[in-house]
Amino acid sequence: MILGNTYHLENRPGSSLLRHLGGLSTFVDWNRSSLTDSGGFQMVSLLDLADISEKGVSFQSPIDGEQMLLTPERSTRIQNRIGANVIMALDDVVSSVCLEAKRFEEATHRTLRWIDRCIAAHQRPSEQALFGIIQGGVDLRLRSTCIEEMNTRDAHLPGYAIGGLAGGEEKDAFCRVVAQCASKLPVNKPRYVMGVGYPLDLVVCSALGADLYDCVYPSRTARFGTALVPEVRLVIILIRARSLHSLYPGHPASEDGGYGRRLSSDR
Amino acid sequence: MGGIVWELDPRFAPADGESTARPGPRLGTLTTTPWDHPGPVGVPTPMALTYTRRGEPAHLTPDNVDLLPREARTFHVSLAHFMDHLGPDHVGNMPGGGRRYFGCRPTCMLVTARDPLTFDQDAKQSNTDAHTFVASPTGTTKITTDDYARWIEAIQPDAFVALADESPSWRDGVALKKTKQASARTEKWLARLLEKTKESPTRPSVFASLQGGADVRERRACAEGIVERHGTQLAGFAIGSVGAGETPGEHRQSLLRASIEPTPWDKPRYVAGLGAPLDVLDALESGVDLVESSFCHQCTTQGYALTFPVKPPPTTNGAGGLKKRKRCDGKDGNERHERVAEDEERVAEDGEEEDANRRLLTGGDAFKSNMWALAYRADKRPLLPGCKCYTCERYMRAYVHHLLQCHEMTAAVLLDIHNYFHFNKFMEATREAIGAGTFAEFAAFHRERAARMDGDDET
Repeated sequence: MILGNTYHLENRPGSSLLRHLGGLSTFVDWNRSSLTDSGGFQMVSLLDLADISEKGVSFQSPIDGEQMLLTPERSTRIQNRIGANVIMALDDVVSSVCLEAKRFEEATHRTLRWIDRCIAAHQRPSEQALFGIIQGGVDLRLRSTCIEEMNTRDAHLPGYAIGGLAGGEEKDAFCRVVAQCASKLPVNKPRYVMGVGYPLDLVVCSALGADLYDCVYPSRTARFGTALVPEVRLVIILIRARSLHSLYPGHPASEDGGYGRRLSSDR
Repeated sequence: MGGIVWELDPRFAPADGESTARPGPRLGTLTTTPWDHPGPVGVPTPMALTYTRRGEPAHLTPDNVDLLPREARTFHVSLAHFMDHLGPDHVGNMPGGGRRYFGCRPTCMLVTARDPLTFDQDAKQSNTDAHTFVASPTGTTKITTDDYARWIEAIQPDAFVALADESPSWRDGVALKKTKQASARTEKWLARLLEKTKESPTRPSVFASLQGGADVRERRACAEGIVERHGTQLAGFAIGSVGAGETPGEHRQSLLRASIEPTPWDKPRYVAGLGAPLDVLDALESGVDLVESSFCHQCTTQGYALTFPVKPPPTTNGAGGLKKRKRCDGKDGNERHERVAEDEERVAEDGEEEDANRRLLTGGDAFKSNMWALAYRADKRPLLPGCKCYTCERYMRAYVHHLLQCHEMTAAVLLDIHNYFHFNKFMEATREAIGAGTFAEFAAFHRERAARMDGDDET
């Protein structure tokens, strides 16, 4: 399942163009499943450029400085045009290391008001599955409120995500939130922990009852010359690899030909 | 490993009573015995060796190389790419031998000292009797015959071109003395390398590099001398110091012929640096059998897709039909087939001409399209309609354009697959024309088309 980023795809090439060209899957020739996020994460990652209100999130594009207002309606319709199998509700995301408790409370309730706007704006409910996102920071009470309220919209939500984590909060708090959400969300629907993550986190969250994840870690770390191997995170560009071992000793594909660890360091 | 064997197609051998065959164009077969194959593998010539960086195609993993025609699995490898702080041992010490160092497994590997794309830099340094220079990853680096021999030992190519003292052939006014000196050094280094590598267990074939700069007589003399003194030990001949700015056409061909004509007709000729399609025609007409495809690499890295027709269109009004595309959504392109059909129908009247005009206006030319151009941002057509490569059967111009705009490396992968595929199809078309005896018309078609499209008013 590939993940497309609504904010960036709307910038380039643009959701209207994508629809004209047959949707994301046709554009990239991918006949398996796909998912787009709502653009909500950019609230955290591009916070200096974002202005959040009840209406929506106003961004200043990092590419050309142009203003863009992302409302629940606009996000949903952009995702309708992009055409992924799963689309995410626009939620009010607060960085998990924010210190204002009131901000989390505001975000929790706004997320619930926005889910109704997303559901109303969704033009392709029989083709694209809309997932609701549980917010509430690391406050279990807020999370509980959010889950209970979100459940009342269950008929319109084929799946749920646990959002607002993977942002630097303490691991202890992270695990408690995932445990709570996974135990209270409907058992017959997928649970997607957004932004997770490191291998250990994947194991823990799966044990707690989560099903879907997304993480930039493998590709991002690869761009910086790191290969993920069973033993250790092998930073290849920093070592003069004279070792003869293949990247994955014992793996059938590595026995004849393929690339050795040392080859990777030379390039 | 174990060298190459090249055989001339008997139709091009000397006729009865002739002592030598016409220099070219001609057909042949290049055969090698790769280390991982049970038996020999032959590919037809003329043929283009795939350009590599440090022994591997720049943007293609082994599975992608397998998407290309078989001839693309012959590689041109530049030693210059290896000459950084790591010496030959880290390649040579691979268990089972240096060829196992490489992920891709070319059926034939030809090593030269230089990268055809950095020839200008290499040629600026003054050489001595002991060394010349190559543009390595860490800067311009000295290389001696000893170094070269050690690298050959480590890499285990099927063939290599002996180290040469090269100077670009556009340097008219280079003193004849210097040109002769370059020839003499080149021959000396050849002799040394023949000596050093003849005991090599992998027995690579040796190509001599023929020099002589811009002087036709010196080229002939250099070639005659090398053939006379070392000919029996040589598997082929590389014509050096061309593709570096000399005037194309008649002048270039006179230099090529001066080097080629003294060589035995039953040995292959290789030239680096003549990669653009019109340059290839010059080379083949002069009798060259092997070229290299660094032109494809250059096009890819600059965002160009090769979009020229490989041969003249058929004269009959046959219904070429709209190609069915292999889409992965299982629709076999039918749904899009219809939509694409509408698009094509709409521009069918002047479809190709409009496309060609757009190409010229957006930074392309008679041979290639600039995929960075905004004109392609909504274009659903493949890079080259009708092309059967992996990229064109699945992807649209709008996608490749988008990838370039976003600086995604997939753009280079898709372009490389297409460009190498297409260039190899061009080489296949040259072979067809040579075999059918229609090469003159074939070459004229390409030259006239280029002159017409690129606005050459001199003809």
